[in-house]
Formats: sequence, structure tokens, C-alpha cells
Amino acid sequence: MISDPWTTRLSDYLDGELSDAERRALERHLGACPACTAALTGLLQVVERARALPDRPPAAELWSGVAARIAEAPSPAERRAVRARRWAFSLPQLAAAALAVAFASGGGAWLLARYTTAPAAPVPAAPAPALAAPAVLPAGLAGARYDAAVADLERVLAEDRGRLDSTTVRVIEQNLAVIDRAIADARRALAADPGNPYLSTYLAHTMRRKIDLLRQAATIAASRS
Amino acid sequence: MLALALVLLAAPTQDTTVAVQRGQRLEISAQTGEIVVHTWGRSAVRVQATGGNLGRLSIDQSAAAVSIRGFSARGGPARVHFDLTVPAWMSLRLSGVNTTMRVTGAEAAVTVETVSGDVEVTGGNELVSLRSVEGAVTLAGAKGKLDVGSVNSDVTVHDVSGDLQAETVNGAVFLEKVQSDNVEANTVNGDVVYEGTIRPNGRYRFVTHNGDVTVAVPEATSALVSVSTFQGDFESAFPVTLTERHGKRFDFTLGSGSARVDLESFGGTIRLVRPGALPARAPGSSGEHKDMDDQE
Repeated sequence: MISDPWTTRLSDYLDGELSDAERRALERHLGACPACTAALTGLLQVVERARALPDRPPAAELWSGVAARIAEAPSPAERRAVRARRWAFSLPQLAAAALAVAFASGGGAWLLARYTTAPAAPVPAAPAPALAAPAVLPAGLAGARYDAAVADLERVLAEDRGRLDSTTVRVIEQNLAVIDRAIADARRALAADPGNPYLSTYLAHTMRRKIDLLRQAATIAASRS
Repeated sequence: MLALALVLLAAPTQDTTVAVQRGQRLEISAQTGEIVVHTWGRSAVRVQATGGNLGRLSIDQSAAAVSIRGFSARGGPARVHFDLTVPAWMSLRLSGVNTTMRVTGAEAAVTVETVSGDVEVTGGNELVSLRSVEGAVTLAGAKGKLDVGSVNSDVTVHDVSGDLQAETVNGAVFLEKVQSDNVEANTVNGDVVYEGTIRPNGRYRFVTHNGDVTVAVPEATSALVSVSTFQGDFESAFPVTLTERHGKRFDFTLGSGSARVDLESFGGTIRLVRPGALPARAPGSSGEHKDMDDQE
């Protein structure tokens, strides 16, 4: 049973889908809730580990439909709708992602046994992730979802950049670069100190800032049409 | 109430006054130029518009709003300097692109959005939201729920009260004479400076990546202070006793610890000073933030 309502909002937080008030409340909550901080750390570790994995073609019989949808180029309408796009994870999905990455990393058998017998604290015992979890979320998708959200927003911005003043485009690109460097710093730090809750929440916060800025820029560009 | 529209044609300088009713808000959009808003005690809006290519000034009224726009002689957006005088009770919604915005004396909600201009607002109540992408944003004398942000410039807030959220990416955040029990300020490449109340049960969070966080802590403050950095340092003008420490993350308690203060700088110095001991800053100065390129 999930007793902490914030645990289900962590992926929304990373998506930048929370309202300002909700985001502030969650960030305050993270400062006082080791369980949610640990869950967020787990999510980020999944993302970071998935990011580091080589892309592998999925088993065709399991993944053909999913892979096709992932590879499918979005329509212009879908690209326009990207501002509303989410890369949300439910906690079962997070657990599944953790399993998927663990399997892909070679630790699957150990983790499978561990999750089957004693779920780790950050992952609530709410509907148990299907043990066919690797079939739910392919290795690498966790990181890819964030990257895809960023890429989609960047694509929208690139398509609409002609509507923006060249100075504004340059300023936005410079500020995205500032955020990217901060993200890179935080990733390197988290790799060196993976259990550091400050770095986890800070990385999440900074990734969200990038999504927010991209959305802001895309909205400005769209409003100039 | 019937919608009314007043259209003034073909004059580079126009000056007109329309009566308004309490409850109406002012909406004005100018793609390029400047919008300056003053207040007075009359229930009327005076619009003075000047622009070399100003061809048509449109003033639409509905029960909810007075909407003002300027158009060029060819029908497109004009470069206009608007000088408006409005009732102090009137809420304001200003938008623009290459537009500088200045508001003084507002006593109601104020929303300002621009892309490349500076924003400077004195006054405002209930909900004050100020945004610029490229320009500096300054707010003073406001109270209520305050949300101010830039992307590529500094954010300065002083002499305000209420919930305060301030953020930028490449600039500093200066918060001075703030009376609030809920403040959050963050930037990526710049300093964060706070001088204001730290109230019992209040929440305060100041975050930067590549800059310093300086907080003036009043005597007799009661707060649990959490300091987090990765490569930075911590300095305090007064002794503190750490209650929990994990590397460069640590907590300490002042008084009974009822407020919560979170201070984070990935690479800069987190500094506690006493009120009045903040580093001097020239008005309008951009922060001391470092060029991140120089750090690599």
C-alpha cells in the first residue's frame, strides 16, 4: 500500500508536469522524506545506468510493436503536441525499469530473487511489477524517454526558430548550454557518489529546468506564429 | 455590458482617456517598444501612445477587461511607447516581445511577460507574476503571491511580503527586505543573495549551481539549516554546531529549529552573514556569477 502520495508524483516531477506549487511542495518534501529521496535516487540511477547501456535490438517477437512505435516518426500534429508529452513512470514501471536495467547489466537473477522476496524500501509494494518486467520496459528506455522528450522539444524549437529573433534564439541556446553543463557536472558527481541524495535531487531539478526552458522557448515560438 | 471598441486612426502620437469600472483589468500588448504604467485615483484609463509607425490604436472594452493594442499603418504590430495611467485598483496584464515594461503604484494583480525587454514593477498585490527571457526583472513593494523570473539576466526583489518564487538561469537572484515565510530562489549560473525574515515554521530554499549563496540570518532565528554542496565551501559569520554531517552535506539548528532553510550550491560558497553585512552591490549590477566556460 502506498502511504506517501508524493511517491507517485516523482516521475511527474522529472517530467516538469507538476505545477509550481506542487513542485515546490515536493522539493520541500524531498528534503524531509528519505524514502522519496531514495526513490528519486533510484529513478535517476535507472536513468543514468540505462543511458550508459548500448542500444540493443529488442527480441523481435516481444518488442516488434513497441520498437516500431518508438521508432515511428511523429506526425507534425504529434510534434505540435509534444509540449503536453510526458515521460512518466509509475512506481511499478520504475521497479520494472530497475529490473530491466539490472537484467541488461547482468544482475537480473540476483535482483529478481531480491525483489521477489523483499522489495527494496524505495519501491513500494503496490501492485507488484510483473516479473516479466523486462518485457514491459526495454533496457535503455528510461534514459531514452527523457532524451526523447528533450529531443522532441528541441525539434519543435528548431522548426519554429525562424519565428524568433536571432538574438533570442542565441540566448536560449546559450542558456540551454549552461543547463547542459550543470547536468553534466551533476551526472559526473552522481557517478562518483551514487548514494548522495543531494546530487540525486539536484540532477532531477536541473533536468527539469531544461525541460521547462525548452517548453518556454517552444511556447514563445508558437505564440509568434 | 456591451463590448465597446474605440479605434483611433493615423496619428503618431495619441492621447485618449476612457472610463473604466471597478473589476475590469487592463490588457495591453506591444510587440516592440515600451509600456509604462502609472496609477491615479480616477476610474479611468489614460492612454498616451507614441510611435513613428503607429497607425491605429485599438481600445476594446468588455465587462472584464480593457484591451489596448497598437498597429502600424500597414496593419502589423507597431513600435509603440505606451504611457498609461490607470486606477490603482486595476489589475494589469502586460505582454510583449521586444518590449520594456515599467509599472509603478499598482495595488492589484500584475502579470508581465516579455522576451527581450527589462521588467521593472513597483507595487502589486495578490498575484504578481513577472517574466522576461533576456531582460532583467525587478520587483519592489509588492505583496501577495510573487513569482518573478528571467532566463538570461538578474532577478532583483526588494521590500516585498508574501510567498516568493524567484528564478533565472544565467544571472543572479537578489532578494532584499523580504518578509515571507515561504521563499524559493534558484539559478544555474549566478549568485543567490537573501536578506529577509526567517520566520518560525517558514520554508526557505536557495539553490545555485555555479555561484554563491549568501543568506543574512537575523539574530534569534529558529531554523533547521541544511547545507549541501559538492565542490563548494561553507562560511558562517557566527558559530554553528553541526547536528548531522555527510561529507559536504550537513545540518545544524539555530534556536529551536522551527523554520526550514535549505542552501545548495554545487560549486560555490554557501555563506551565512548577519543582516547588514551583505556584500555591497551597486544598484542594477549583474551578479558576480562566473562564466561556466571558464571553469572547464
